[in-house]
Amino acid sequence: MSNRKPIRWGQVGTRAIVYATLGVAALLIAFPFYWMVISTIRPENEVYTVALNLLPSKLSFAMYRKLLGDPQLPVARFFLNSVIISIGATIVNVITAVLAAYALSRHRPPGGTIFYYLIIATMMVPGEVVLIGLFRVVNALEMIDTYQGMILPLAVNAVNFLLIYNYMLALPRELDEAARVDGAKVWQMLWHITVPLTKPAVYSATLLAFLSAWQNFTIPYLLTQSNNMYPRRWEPSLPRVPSWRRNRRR
Amino acid sequence: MATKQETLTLATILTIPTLVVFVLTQRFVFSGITAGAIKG
Repeated sequence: MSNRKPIRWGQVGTRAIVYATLGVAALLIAFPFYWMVISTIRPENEVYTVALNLLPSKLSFAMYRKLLGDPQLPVARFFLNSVIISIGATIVNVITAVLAAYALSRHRPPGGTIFYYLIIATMMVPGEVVLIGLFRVVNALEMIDTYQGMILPLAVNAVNFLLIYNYMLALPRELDEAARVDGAKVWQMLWHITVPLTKPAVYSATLLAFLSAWQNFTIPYLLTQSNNMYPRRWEPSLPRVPSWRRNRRR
Repeated sequence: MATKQETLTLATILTIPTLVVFVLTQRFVFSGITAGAIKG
């Protein structure tokens, strides 16, 4: 007697359609990236041809050498600035989000709901609205053209707070109570119990914070003056520091 | 003005850190994003 299940052709067909659809979608998403990478290692004249050549006729890393070795355009320096700003903003962002979420979700302090809604309300304000105020605050703190000045405005994010807050809210309160019975302090409860259990949300927040800082154009552009402090967004298409941006600190 | 290849090369270089962070955190990212939403 064989235990083999009969093949259900309907199920196989459905699965084939699903995988084919997903495969086409994946291809559509991945192809522009493939084209971007492959275009960088083609000889320059091939980039402008209309023909769809999926592989370069000859590998050429000349453009990488040109961009990374050009003293007039310190791409490596811009890149380093971006890395410093993004990592700095991510670290501060995650720490503030974890601390705020922990306090408001696990300890429920008096007035906590008001703080919760105040934090959520910041999501409804478009970033552009606060730009002038932000510039004035950073200018008053004498942080224009510094890493701190660019990290601080990027370092607080209500989305990350909300992500971690909701995750912490779902953790059983008995864990905190058991730790408290064992004599754990608040910091020990946070560091040894809550944070390890909240890891998925913390990792998600880390990724979102990094991406948000890495992709941000406006704030670093607003708060930098010298070429050396520019993050990577200052591509070759953009001019050097324009004259109106120099000496604008009043 | 930058040439098309310069722009694409810079874009490729700049994608690397995002990829690195994603690879390091992707194991937890999707569960982290969806898990908080279950709680009513």
